[in-house]
Amino acid sequence: MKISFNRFTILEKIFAGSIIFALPIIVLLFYMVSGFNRDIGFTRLEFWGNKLLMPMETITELIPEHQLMVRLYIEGDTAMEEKINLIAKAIEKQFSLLQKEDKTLEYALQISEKSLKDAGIEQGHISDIYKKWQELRSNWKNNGIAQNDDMHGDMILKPINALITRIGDTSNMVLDPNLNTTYLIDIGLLTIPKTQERLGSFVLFVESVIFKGYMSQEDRVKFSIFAAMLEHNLQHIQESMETALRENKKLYGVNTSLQKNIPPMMDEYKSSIIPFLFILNRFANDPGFKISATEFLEPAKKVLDTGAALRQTSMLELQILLDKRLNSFVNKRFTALFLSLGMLFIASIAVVVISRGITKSLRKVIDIAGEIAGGNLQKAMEALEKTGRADLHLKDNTEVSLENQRNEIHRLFHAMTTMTSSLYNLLIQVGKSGIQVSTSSTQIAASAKQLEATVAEQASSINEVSATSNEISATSQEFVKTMNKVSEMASEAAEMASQSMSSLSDINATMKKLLDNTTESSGKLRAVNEKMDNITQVITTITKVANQINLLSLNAAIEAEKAGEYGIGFSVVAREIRRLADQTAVSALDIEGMIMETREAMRDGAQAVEIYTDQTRTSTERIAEISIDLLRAIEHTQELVPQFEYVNQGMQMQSQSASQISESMGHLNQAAGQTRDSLIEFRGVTEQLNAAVKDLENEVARFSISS
Amino acid sequence: MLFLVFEIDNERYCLEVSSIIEVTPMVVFKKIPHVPAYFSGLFNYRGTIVPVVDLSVLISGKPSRPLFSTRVILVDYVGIDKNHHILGLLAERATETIFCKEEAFQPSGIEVDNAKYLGDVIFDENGMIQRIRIEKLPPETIQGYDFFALKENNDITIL
Repeated sequence: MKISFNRFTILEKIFAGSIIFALPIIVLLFYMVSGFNRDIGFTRLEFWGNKLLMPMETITELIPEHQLMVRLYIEGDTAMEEKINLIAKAIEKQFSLLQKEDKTLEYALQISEKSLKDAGIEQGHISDIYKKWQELRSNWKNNGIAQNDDMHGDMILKPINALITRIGDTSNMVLDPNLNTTYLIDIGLLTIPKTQERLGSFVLFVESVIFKGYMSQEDRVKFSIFAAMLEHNLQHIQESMETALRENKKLYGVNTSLQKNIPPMMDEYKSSIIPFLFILNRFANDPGFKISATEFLEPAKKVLDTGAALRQTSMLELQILLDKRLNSFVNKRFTALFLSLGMLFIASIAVVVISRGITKSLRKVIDIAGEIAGGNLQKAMEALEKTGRADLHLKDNTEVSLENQRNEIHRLFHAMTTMTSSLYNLLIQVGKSGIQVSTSSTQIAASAKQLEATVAEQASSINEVSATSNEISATSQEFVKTMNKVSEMASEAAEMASQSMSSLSDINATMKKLLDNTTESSGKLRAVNEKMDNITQVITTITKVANQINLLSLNAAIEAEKAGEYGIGFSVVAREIRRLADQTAVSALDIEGMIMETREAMRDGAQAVEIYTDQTRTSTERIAEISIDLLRAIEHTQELVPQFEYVNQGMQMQSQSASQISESMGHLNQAAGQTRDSLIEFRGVTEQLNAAVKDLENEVARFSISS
Repeated sequence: MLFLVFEIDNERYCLEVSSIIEVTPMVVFKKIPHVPAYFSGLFNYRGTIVPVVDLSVLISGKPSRPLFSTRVILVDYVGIDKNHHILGLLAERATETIFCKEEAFQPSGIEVDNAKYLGDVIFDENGMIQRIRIEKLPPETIQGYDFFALKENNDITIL
C-alpha cells in the first residue's frame, strides 16, 4: 500500500520524524540496560557465592580441630569433652547458617541436588553432609581413632571441599574483574584455607609424633618442608593483602572498614606464625629437642585461630566490597535509564510545543484566507490586525517588513495584510467608478428618452406641415386654373366688350367672383405663413436638442477619456451619438434654409396677390363705371390682360414652392425617423451599460468592505 | 490623447481633455464692472462661483457670438496661491473632439511674448489646429481673475 507523505498534516509529519529518531535511541537504551544487567548478575553471583562459602570455610577449619580433640579424648585426655562440645556447637551453627539460605541461591550457584548429580558429585548436597556430621556426633565416643579420622576427613571435609570448589566455579569468582576483590578471594578462599587445612593435618601428624615419643629423620624433613611452606604462604598472603589494600583505593571509593580491619588481623596472624615457625625449625634441626603436647598445640592453635579470624575478616570485607559494587551498578543503571527516558520525555514535549506553535499560526492564516475567499474582507482585515498585535507581539502591522523578518509565519502575515489592503482599496475604487458610470448612464438614458419624445413630436409636426403644404399646392393649382380661365374670360370679355355691351354685366359678376377668390387666396397664403413659422420653431427645437446631445456626448467623451482604459468603449458610443446629433443639426439647417427660400417666394406671391386684389377691386369699380362708359371699360379690359399674366406667373411660382416644401418635409420626416431609430439603439446601449454596471456592483458587493 | 476643438475668429484651437472638468452651454453671466474686457463675468457652476474668460476677446479682440455652439469650457488650473481652482473659458464651436498623439504636434515656429499660451500645431484634412496651454496664460490674465491677485492689485473683493 502506498501512502502519500504529503497528505499528512504538519503535526503528523513531525510526530513521524520524532518516532524515527526515537527508534535508534530505544535500541541503544536496550543494549545499555542489558549490559548493566549482565554486570549486576555477574556481581550478584559472586556475592551469593561468597555468602555460602563463608560458613563452609569456617566448617573446614573447625572440623580438623574437632578431629584433634576427639583423638586426644580417645587417647585418654577426658578433659577434652567440654572443648569438643564447644567446637561441635560452633560447627552446628555454621551448618544452620548454610541450611537457612534460600533455595534460589542453590539453583543460581548450581549446588542443588539435581545440579550436583548432573555434575557427577554423589551425596554432595549440604543436607547430606549435615547428615554425616550428625552421624559422627552420635558415634564418635564409640569409634576408634582411625575410624574417627576417616569420618572427619572423607565423610565431611572432602565433600565440603568439593562443594567449595563447585561454588568457586559457578559463582564466577575466578573471573572477578577487580584487583582488590580478586586478591581478597585469593587469600580468603584459596591460600588461607589451604594453609589452615595443611596446618590442621600437620598438627595431627605432630600430635602422633609426640604421642609415640621419638622422631625419625623422615619426620624432621617433614617439619622442615612444612616450615618452608608456611613461610612461603605467609609471604604470599602478605603481598596479596597489600595489593588488595592498594587497589581498593582506586576502585568504587575507598572501603574504610577494609583499610581499618585487615592490617591488625594481618599483624596478629604474622606475630602468631613467627614463634610457631621457630618451634618447627627447632624440631627440624635439633634431634634432641623435646616438647610437651600442650606446649606445641598452643602456638599451633593460635596460628589456626588468627588465620581463621583473618580469613573471616577478609571474606566479610569481600562481601561488603561486592555489595558496594552491586549497588554501584544498580545505581548506574537507574541513573542512565532515568536520564535517557527523562531526556526523551523533554524532547517529546519540545516537539509537541514547537509543532503546535507552527500549526496554530497556520490555522489562523487559513481562517483569515477563508474569510477573504468568503468576501468578509472587513472581518479578515480586523482578524489580521488582531493577530498581528496579539500573536506577533507587534504594536503596529506596518512594523513587519520583509527585510527584517526571519520568521516565515510573520512574513506570511505581512504578505496577507498587504494583499488584503490592496484588494480593499481596489474594491473601493471599483465601487466608486461603478457609481459614477451608473449615474452618468442614467443621466444619458433620461436625456435620450426626452430626445426621443421631442423627435416624435417633431415627426407629427412635420406630417402636419406636409399635409398643409399639399393643400396649398392643390389650391394654388386650382387657383392657376381659375386664373387661366379668368384670363381667357377677360380676353373674351374684351373682345366681347368691343363687340357687345351686353356681356358687361357678366364681366361685372365674374369680376366680383374673382375678387372673392383673390381674397380667399390671400387668406390661405397667410395660413401658410403661419405654418411656416411653426416649422421654423420645430426646427429650432431640433437644433437645440441636437446641440444638447452634442454637449452631452462631449462631456461623456471627456469623462471616458479620464476613465482611461475603462472608458474606451464608452467613448466610441459618445462619438457616435455626437455624429448623429451633428447630422440632425445639419439637416435642420438645410430645412431652415429651404423654408427661408419658400417664405421669401411666398412673400413675393402675397405681395402680387395683394396688388392684384387691389387692382381687381379697382377694376370692378371701374367696370361698374365702364358699364356707363363702355369705351373706357374696353380700354381697361385690354389693360387687364397683362395683369392676369403676371398673376398667373406668381401663382405658378407659388405652386412650385409649395411642392418644394412638400418635398423638404418628406426629407425632414425621413431624417426624424433616422434620429428616432438611432435614439432607440442608443437607449438599448445605455441599458446594456447600466446592466453591466449593476453586475459590477453586485460583484463588488460580494466583498463587504465596510463595517 | 483626446483634445476638445473650438473656434475663435474662424480659426481652430484645441485643449487637452484631461484638464477639462466639463463643457456647459453658455448662460447669462453676472457682469462685473471695472474689469478687463476679456473677463465675461461670473457663473454659478454647481454651487461654485467660477470666473469666465472670453478666449475670443483675449485672442482676436472680438467677443464670442451668441451661437448654440458657443460654450463654457470648465478647466482646472493652479492659481498663484498654488491651489486648484475652476476657470471657465468661453469659445465658439466647441462641439468636436479630436484624438491624436502627443508626438503629432509640431512647433508653430512663432512665439509671441504676451501670447505664450498659443502652443504647438497639428493638422487634419480641414486645416491646422493650435493648442492652447492653460498653464502658459500670461500672468496678468491669470491675475485678472485670481481672487488673491484681485485683492492686492485692484482692491476688489470677490467672495
